[in-house]
Amino acid sequence: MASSVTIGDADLATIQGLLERLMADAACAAVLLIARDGESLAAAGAAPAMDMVSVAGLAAGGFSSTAPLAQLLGEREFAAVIHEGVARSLHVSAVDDATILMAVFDERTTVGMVRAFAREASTRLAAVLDEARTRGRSTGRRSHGGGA
Amino acid sequence: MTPRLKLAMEHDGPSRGRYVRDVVQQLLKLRAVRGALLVASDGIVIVAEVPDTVAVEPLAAMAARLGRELEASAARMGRASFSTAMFSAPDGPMFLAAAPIGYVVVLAEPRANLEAIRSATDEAVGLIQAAWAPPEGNAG
Repeated sequence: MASSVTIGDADLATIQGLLERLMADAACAAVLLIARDGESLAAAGAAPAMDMVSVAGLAAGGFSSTAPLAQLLGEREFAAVIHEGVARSLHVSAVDDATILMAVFDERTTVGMVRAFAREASTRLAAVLDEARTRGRSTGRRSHGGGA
Repeated sequence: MTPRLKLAMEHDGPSRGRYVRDVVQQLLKLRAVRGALLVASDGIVIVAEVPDTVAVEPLAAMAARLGRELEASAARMGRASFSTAMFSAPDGPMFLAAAPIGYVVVLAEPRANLEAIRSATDEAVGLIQAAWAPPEGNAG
């Protein structure tokens, strides 16, 4: 299982770049990297009139709550969960065992577009976080809370 | 390599999604083309440029199902997977082409120039493939 991680400035800049890239590629309103406990680790974009702190916490809770359902189907967890609204929707996907990726999007794009680019971004984010953990272990840095 | 494909491989614009949408929209400029889509292999719509009279989601689901079946059949026969297929219908042919992230679907009118559309569809697949690989040196 991926442990929590302390994200240094360089890694945070890389993560920020990946989030901004995802937001531009998929035409999302906002993109957040969230710890499984609901803490927002990094974000790109801003959806107007949205309390992103609450959205992050609720998205993490909602994503975790689907794991038992996935397990009933023989899955460890769902790779992604989509909340479809009239004007705005959420795409929440697993990055690794400690983090999830949330994209807020509207009618400017499609769920298929968001999903395709979110998969690519998740793979890259997971690699950055894994490298940060490995580096943290080798330098003896203590991790805390999975966050920045 | 065509000039357009070369251009796509050099693409490092701000939005690959917009670029892919542009590639699909370019197909609409062909004479007698009614609509074009890019659908994921499970039938989820990625880009759809079709008239209001076309039910997008059922079409995308059917196209993905056909594409998967063609790929599975080719594998069962020990043949290479298909690149482009054409399905005839009274209201015009449908072209289906395998792309890196799913399938490109082109709807045409009965009077369409089939070879021109097939060629343009293949080119669109190449452009999408080139655009999908993220630019080198980007974050991550």
